[in-house]
Amino acid sequence: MNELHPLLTSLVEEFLNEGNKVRDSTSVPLDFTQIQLNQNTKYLLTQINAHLSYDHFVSSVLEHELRTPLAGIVSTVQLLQAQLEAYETELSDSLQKWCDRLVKLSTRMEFLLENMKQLHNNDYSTQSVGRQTRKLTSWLTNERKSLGELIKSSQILDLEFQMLDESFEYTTNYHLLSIILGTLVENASKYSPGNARIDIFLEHSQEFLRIKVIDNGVGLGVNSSENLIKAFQRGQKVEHIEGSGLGLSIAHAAAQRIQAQLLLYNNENMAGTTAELILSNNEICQKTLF
Amino acid sequence: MSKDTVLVVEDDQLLREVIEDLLNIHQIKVKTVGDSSEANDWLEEYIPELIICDLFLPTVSGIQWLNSVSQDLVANNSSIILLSADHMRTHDMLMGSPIQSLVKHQLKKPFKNDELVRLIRFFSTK
Repeated sequence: MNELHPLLTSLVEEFLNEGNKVRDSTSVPLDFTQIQLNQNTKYLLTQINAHLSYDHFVSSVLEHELRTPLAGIVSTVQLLQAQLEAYETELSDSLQKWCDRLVKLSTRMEFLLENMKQLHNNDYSTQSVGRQTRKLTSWLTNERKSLGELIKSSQILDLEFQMLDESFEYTTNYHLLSIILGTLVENASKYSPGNARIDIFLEHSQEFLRIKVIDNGVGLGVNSSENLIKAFQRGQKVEHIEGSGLGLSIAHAAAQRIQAQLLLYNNENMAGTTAELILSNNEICQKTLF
Repeated sequence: MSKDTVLVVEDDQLLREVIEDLLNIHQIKVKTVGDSSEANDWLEEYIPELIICDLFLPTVSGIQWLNSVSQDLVANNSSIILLSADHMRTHDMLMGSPIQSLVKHQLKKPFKNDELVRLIRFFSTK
């Protein structure tokens, strides 16, 4: 992703302005590859940008995930309030006070959630829809370095391309694709033994592109992929492994935004899990995914 | 199960229970299900006049599921209320889909109980 987060855009513009190069603020998002900066500064910008973008995306997923439990709370509070009001006998002061407090707190949470949503809408929405056409194999080969940093040092990450030549181009939001792959590889590493091998397979057949992250870790147990994808759901036999349970939910949300489908299943003939991302650039096929 | 039973498709169990309690209090017949395959089972028995469907279900999106059963819904002239927080995105997803004309309202989570009941009464007595 070359477009900069608004905060970084402001920073770069400060630099440019100092050099008397005033940039039109209404122009398209700033592409840092077009700016004359030394390689180290560009690398630093890329790293900071990736962190900011990831944090932004996670916060938008959280904002979305919070809506359902909050809807449950708000509706329950309203039900409680209606039931209490229907009582003919007067409520005790404490009960009335607690009910009023619940109403105020849930209203405040609604307000905060709306503000959070507003923040996401205003803040750098252009980046979240930024699709690019790239040579997929070279993109993934480049990504391999950062993906390698997500696994344990004793583990091996292997890439394999099937039915894909180097010139194969694919159009998608590579920032979101990077978030999905990063989450899947990190998860695979986390739930696999120290000496595990994690494979990334790319297959292209007919209209579909399949990216599989295969590990030989603890597997899904009896959990269905749907349950694991729900925010804050964690797999079985993983109590000893640190994690919030939000990772797969983030990957799922990112997959939805690029019209892809994310599946998780136990490997057939060996221990571990396969996370499969199915994408298509064909609009009709996309409708069968997400 | 009768046609005037509202079908609620929502993957969160607690929210399903809350909606069921709310509609029971208002004497609105309701059937709640947690995913598209369970919803399909119920559609084999009856096609409801009104479906309340969450936009994001576990395996397929609400719109994708509704599209897959659109023939029956269009024939029955069913109404749909979508539970969605993002109107713009929902609008884009609905563009050109067979159920576009059946979607009467998008209700944002969290919602007011009174509003949900009012919408149900309005669209189930059309």
